[in-house]
Amino acid sequence: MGFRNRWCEAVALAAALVLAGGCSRVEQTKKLEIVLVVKALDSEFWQRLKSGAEAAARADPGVKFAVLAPEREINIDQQVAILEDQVLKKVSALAVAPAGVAEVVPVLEKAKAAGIPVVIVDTDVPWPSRVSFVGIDNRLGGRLAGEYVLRAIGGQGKVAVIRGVMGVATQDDRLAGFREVIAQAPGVQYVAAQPANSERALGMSVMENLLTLHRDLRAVFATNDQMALGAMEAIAARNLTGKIVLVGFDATREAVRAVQAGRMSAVMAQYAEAIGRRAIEEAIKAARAQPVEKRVDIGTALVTKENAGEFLR
Amino acid sequence: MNAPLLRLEHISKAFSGVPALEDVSFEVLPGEVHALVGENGAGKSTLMNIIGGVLSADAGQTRWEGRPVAVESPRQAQELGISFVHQELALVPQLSAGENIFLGRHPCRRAGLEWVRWEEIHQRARALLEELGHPMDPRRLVAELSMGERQLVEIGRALSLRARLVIMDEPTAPLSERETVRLLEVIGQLKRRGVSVIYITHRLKEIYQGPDRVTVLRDGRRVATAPVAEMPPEALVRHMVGRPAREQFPALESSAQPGEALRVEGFSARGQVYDIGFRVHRGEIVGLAGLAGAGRTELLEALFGAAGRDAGRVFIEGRPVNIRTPVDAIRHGLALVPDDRKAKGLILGAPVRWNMVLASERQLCIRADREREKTRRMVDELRVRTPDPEQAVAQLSGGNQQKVVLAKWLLADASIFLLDEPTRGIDVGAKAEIYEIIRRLAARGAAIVLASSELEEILHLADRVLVMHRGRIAGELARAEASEESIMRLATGGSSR
Amino acid sequence: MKTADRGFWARGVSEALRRFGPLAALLLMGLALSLLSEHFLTFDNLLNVFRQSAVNTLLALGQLLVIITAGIDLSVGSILGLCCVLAALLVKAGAPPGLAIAAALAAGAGLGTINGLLFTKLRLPHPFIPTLGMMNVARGLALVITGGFPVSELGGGFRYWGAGAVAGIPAPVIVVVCFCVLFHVFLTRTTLGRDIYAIGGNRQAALLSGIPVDRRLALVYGLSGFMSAAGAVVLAGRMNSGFPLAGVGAELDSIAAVIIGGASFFGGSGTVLGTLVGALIMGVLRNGLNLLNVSAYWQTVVIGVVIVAAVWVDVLRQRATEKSRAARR
Repeated sequence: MGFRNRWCEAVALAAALVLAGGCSRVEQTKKLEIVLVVKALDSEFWQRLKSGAEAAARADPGVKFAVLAPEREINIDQQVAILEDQVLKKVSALAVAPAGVAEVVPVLEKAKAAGIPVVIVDTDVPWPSRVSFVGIDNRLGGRLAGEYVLRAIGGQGKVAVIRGVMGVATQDDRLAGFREVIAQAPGVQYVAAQPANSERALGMSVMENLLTLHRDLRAVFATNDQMALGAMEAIAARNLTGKIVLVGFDATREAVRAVQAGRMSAVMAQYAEAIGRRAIEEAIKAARAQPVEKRVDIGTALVTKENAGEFLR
Repeated sequence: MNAPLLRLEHISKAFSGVPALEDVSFEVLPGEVHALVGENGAGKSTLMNIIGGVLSADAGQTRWEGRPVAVESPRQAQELGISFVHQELALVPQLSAGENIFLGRHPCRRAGLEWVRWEEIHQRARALLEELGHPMDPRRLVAELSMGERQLVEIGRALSLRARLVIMDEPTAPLSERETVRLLEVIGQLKRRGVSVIYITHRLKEIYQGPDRVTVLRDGRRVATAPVAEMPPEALVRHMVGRPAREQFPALESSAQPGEALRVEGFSARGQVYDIGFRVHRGEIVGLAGLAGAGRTELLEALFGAAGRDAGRVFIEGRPVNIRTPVDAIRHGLALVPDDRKAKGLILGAPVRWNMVLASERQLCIRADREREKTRRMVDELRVRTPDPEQAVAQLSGGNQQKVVLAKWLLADASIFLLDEPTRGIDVGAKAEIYEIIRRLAARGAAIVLASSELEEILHLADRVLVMHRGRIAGELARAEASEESIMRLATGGSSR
Repeated sequence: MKTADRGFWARGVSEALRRFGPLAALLLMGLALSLLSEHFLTFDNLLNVFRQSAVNTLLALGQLLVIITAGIDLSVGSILGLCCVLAALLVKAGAPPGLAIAAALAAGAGLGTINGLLFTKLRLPHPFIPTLGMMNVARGLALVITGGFPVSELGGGFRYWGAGAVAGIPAPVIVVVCFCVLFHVFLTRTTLGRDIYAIGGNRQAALLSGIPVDRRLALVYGLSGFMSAAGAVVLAGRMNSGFPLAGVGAELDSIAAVIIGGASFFGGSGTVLGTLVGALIMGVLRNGLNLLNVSAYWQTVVIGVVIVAAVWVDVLRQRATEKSRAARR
């Protein structure tokens, strides 16, 4: 009886592995293998980016496509491990949204050494060997958000920022653009920039603490929608909806609907699907050794109640 | 003549071939208080467990009110009307006395939703306790009650279950004098209500303070049953102990030397041993007798530094020492062979060799060769039967395991041995070998304190016998005066005359 | 016996699993993966696996000692984060790499020893409690010291232990192998190691045999903290940054590696080889599933299943051994 149990166990283990691998055996045909590695898949932004990327891949029959990510945006070492393994497989091209800078660049160098072109997506890194960057001008986005806030509060009052993981370019740039504009208004007091790791629950806690610390807070800028949605709940819980200007970033469906309903003041649009689509298009071109655009700025726009309807189509 | 309430006929029970009860017949009359006495291991607990449905007999018949019954579970016993008041009281300390009395059977308002009727519980509990003659507020938490009060709660619970027979196992062991008196009154109350009581005790004095009849068990058999009035104490002790003085104890030459190895003064520990004073000479074997709960194990462990010492001084070779941990004790040459070798004496999953060298090889690197040589020497000298010293010690028989424990201390060059039940659970052949080892140790000059429940063993080996009772030394007997009767008398609280 | 008609291969597999336990499972997995992906069995990929498992192995070695004593150390991930940050800050402040590494190791050992002392001196009921407290304190300190920012660009000298190589063998692999050897010698050839097994096997008997149990426990937790720091140095080198959230969840991975490797949760058993195999099983799983483009979420599910399966296999193995032993008597 004992032997049979253990034999069943071995078969079950092997079967689990086979099932998990599924039909993703590498085919021996000449399809291009393009892999997109993002920071996490736990938000609408990343999901929409993924679907845009998948659409681009589907449009090209000679492409085999996969999307991978670590469990959370803070699991930087997990992303490095994923990248190392993809580099080993000598994929045709990589599109990467790096979770960290100093941590990820070394493995990107390995990709380059292996002859794999790398397209950087959404979060730029100061790595000269990238074949393209597809994203938006985050600084500009921050500035536009700052201008909106100034208008909304009449140039007077306390303002705070809720930002993502420290040291990440997108977040830094958005914050920097915002502060540039705010600094120019003498009547505005910038009280804090608190990190919430782009997570909704954390965004809510941070907002609650800010509200406790600064009772007369007039405006909050959250550098992405996950945190903005969390902050929105914290504001609503204290019945301050509409009294505090709340600006998000990404324009996910949920956030845009919130703007329409008046629970959020405005969001900066990031056309996530477009970013994903263009990133894969450039990656495919690079894999085929065709000329690639070095920088693709998808553009950003301010979404308010007036034009929210457009963004829900 | 009343018909017996409970009657056991020709009950026998054996555990793994070792008989615990042989052809025991026993009966209890309605409204009777029946005392049950016997040495440790005589079979009292086994008999009670059979009555209570915890164990089933291998042979024999049980009758309740004349009808044959098979009590196969404690629940069945309870339904018949048999109730137990154990030594370890089965109460929930965080609940009140009233709740404990009705534990699991709370009166409810609506059967479906089980709303508990607290007032009713407390009323009924109060009534019960008053009936027992000792009113107490049933809302008090059990955790705050004294031992005596907790026992009352247990008895109250038994009453609420409409018990016809209450079995009490050593009920006065944790009680003070005053509480003992109160308990005996309560038992009187039970008797007046027609409830029978089986009263197990070691305290001979109590047998003459309440019970109607007394039964003596010895070595798994019933040797006597009589009305208390017809059984004087000397007869009782003689029945308990039974054997005539044996010639089998060869007069061993005492190897005691004049040098004092260990002296203890005013030693108290763990709130369980008080004011102990004695001395042991080199080469001397001092027996430490007493019944379960007398405090022998606590004393030895405290001397060894394994448990808190409250007061007292210890002198080794005349010099005062401060032993706070076993490491100190070992440094001074002490060794402890604990009463439970599996739980306290050996690392069961580890090889024999490890267990033997654990106390002696304390330098950083393991010297496997030297250890193997030491192990081999011990295996030869003590005749440890093991196919391979690298084998786990769990696979050895009890006797050989005990030899491994002794080997550990021999290798550590101990000179003062504290032995606690060294031959418990060991077969006859191995016992003899261990006695031989102990005698050789003494002959070589070691001082030995031998705590044991087996009086034969103590009489066989000891040069002197200290008897403990309720945490104190009740008396000391020289070899000439020591006999099973004299030891038992001291151990049960009597005087040495 | 029913196995007679099950065929030669089936008997071989079950016998191998029974005798060699986790190692057989590892080889089996390797076999399956090499069939599923052509990339798995390449030299580069195997190096990747070792490199990616290095930090977990180092933590698991410390955790092994703790688990052998029937304890548990929940703070290893947080101590790793704090030491990662400390070392990185020292390097950025201009300290020579050797000094930074030594300081991190000392800090780790110190924090670990505090865990041990809290457990023994305060007579806390279970090491769960002080290590849980330390888990929060160390993580908090790491975040406070850095303000949440990673400390990056650490320079070649320091990064060597995480990112360098000797004759093509990555430095982390060498570090792991050295520590495995050291720990193996410690556990099997020193009385300290034996004491640790004894304490786990039967703490009361160990105490009554003269083993200074409290001192040994303080040592064990100190070593666990030391290994967390060692893991931190390797990780910081590999990641080229000390980020304060490093090691979140690493304590559970280290416990998983030890348990998959066959150590008993109740103490008294466990080997370095088993732990190494346990860590490699987890590394191979993650790597293999990465190569097969399976999402990270599924990887977590599979690892959970493997943990339960590993313990179950061990339980069956023990029962079978007892049965055969009883039959022989």
